[in-house]
Amino acid sequence: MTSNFALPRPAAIFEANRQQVFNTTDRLFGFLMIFQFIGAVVAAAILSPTTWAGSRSWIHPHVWTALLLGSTIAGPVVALTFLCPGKSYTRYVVAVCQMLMSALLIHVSGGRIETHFHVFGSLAFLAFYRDWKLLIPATLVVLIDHVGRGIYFPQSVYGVGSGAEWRFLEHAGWVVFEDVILAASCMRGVQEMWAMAQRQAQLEELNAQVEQTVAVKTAELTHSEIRNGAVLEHALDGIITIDPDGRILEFNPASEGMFGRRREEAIGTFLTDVFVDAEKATLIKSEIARYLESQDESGMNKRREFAILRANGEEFPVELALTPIPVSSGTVFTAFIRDISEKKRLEGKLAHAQKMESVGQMAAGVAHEINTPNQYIGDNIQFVIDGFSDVKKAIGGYQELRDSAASSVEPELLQKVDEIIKSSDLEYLADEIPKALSQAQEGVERVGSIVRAMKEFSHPGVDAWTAVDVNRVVESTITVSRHEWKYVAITEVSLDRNLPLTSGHPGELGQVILNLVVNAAHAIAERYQGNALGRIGVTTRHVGQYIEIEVKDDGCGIPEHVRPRVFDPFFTTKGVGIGTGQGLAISHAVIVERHGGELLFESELGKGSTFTIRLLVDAASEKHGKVAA
Amino acid sequence: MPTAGLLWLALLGLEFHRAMAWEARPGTQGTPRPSLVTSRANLRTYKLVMVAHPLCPCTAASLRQLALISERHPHLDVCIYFTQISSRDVQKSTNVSIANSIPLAKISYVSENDQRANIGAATSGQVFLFNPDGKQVFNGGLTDGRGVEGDSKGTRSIDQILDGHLLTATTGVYGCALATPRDRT
Repeated sequence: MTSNFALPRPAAIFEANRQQVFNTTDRLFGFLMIFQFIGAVVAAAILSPTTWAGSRSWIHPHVWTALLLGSTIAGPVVALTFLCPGKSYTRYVVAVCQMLMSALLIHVSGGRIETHFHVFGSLAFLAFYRDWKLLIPATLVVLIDHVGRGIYFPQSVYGVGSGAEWRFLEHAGWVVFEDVILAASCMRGVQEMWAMAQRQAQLEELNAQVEQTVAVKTAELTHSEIRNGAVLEHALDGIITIDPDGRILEFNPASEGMFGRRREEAIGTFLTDVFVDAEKATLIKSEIARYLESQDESGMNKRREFAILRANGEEFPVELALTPIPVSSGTVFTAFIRDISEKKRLEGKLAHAQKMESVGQMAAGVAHEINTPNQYIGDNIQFVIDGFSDVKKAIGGYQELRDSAASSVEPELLQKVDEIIKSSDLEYLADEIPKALSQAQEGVERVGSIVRAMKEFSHPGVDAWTAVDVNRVVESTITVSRHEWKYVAITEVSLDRNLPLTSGHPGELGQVILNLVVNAAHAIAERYQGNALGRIGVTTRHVGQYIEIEVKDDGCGIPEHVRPRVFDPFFTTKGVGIGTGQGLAISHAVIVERHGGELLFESELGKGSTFTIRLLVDAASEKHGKVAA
Repeated sequence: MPTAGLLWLALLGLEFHRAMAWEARPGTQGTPRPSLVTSRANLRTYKLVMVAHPLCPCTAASLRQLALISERHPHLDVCIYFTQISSRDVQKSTNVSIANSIPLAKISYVSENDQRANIGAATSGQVFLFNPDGKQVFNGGLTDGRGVEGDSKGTRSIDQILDGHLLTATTGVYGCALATPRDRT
């Protein structure tokens, strides 16, 4: 096989096709030669099976000639065409032997002129090679055969003996005539093969370009699919594809975590089945229907909040947006679902903080408004106390004057003064007014301390991170929360006066302590139902590198099944309007997340609970020996 | 490879030569017995006698040539003798069928011994031609080789004799032997 390395593509294709023609034609001549050999033997056996001498007979020499000469001619052809197909020498041997086979058949047939058609047929068969050069040796064989036998035994080739000297020219002339036609046909065939090769090369080049483009596009598509798959696989939001009926087609891993269902379980179910609110499920269906009917996208690509059910029945809030995706079979819809539980919790926290800020601002204003009149009330009471002392001295002087001047004063006047003194119960007033004023002054001072506590609680002085005196925060909180606990409990405050400072946000810490105290009061109220006062103990202590604030109550305690969820947002066991489910959640976030501390609790059902806040000691204040006042 | 090619060519040439040599080698030529033409006065025209083996494949060509001669010379007295081997041979003989297709040809069957004794041909397809005087003017075959049809020296010679252009002629006879070798010994 000829190597086509480095040949231009059309030439390589041409050579390959031509080689294919050579191989195929070689194989054809291999079979043809076998057929001709068998045909020659059979023809000899039929036409002249035996030769005779009187009554004796032998196999006719024609049969032996067909066998021996036929195998001598056919043997090389069969061997070469099956062992060395496509070789040039194979073709030339085929050409020579095919014409020798013609000579044999002519001989076996006794030089019948009809058998000469085999010569022309053989030349035509040789033209299958599309190699005009093969006609040369073939024609030479015919010529040599005719010339030789024309001289030696003309009847065996021409059927006649006369004119044999020149008759070969006539035969050769017809053979050359056919050669010319066949050679032209061969060259035409080669030209067509060239044209086909060039067209095939062009097609191959075009095909290669198309394949390259397809390969590039396929690679891009593959990468895109990988990227999309990775997005779906690792997206934090649930991405669910549904058909127009709402049946789930795709369910990404985030959805599995969100819904608590495995992909295999979710596929084929309806997305709207997990909606808590049936009306909102209907809304989704109607928006899909509207889009399909009129391509109305007003309901598409909009985030809406829904409540969804997990597989375990738990309800949770989500944001859901639907996006239509055109596909070959129609339209599918992709639902982007985001769990907004945390967002809702933070929103609650923010709202509470805003509420508390408002309360703080109001408290500061109220405190300011109360403080001013309270101050001059206190001043005036002090003035009255001081003035009453003087008045009491003056009354004493008048009493001495009355006693010393009684003999010189008219009895009626003296009696009248005594009656006035008696009716005014002056002695009693002299004893009780100072006490009343003292109590009034004490009350004013108490109002003043409450106002100061409110001011400190609502406006602890700084909003920034700072060193915090926990004892002071506790005292302020106890003071401002008095109305929450004073009807249900007695508060026992035990403060470590050597408590070091911690660092943090005083307002947030006060809020946490307030939450714990209020919760303790509610627990006590629930246990005693107003029949008795409970006890709330608030203790601060310094333990190692921590400051501990303990809020202990003897309320109803926390049931065991509730304990794992007490810090969950929106979780509450209190009645409507009493608890928001945010207090302990916010407290936990403030202590653990904001201040890096710990919020622990112990509880015994029916006996009470103890919440312990552990805050790190402020290193700077500890180094400088600063302690709470 | 070239040696193998040359050997092959030599073998090829040898076999072709052997085949053609056999084709071109004439058989034994017999002499007509005097009893073949018994009364010269009875001959009003030329008489052609052919002796043929019924199963010799080469003789079919001779019979076809004879048919052509007979066609060209309808007044020729044609007698064909087949050496009879068995009746079965006659029935399946192509040569007898060809002979029967020749108009006015007289076909006879003789034994091998009678043929040898009374006719004298030695090779199938051998022809004796007698002129009206009973004189043999041709002895030979009608083909130039075994089973070779077409123009031949024999047919040309007979045509020329019958046309008066030639007095006598002798050609080779190409066909199977009429005598069984065993019989000849």
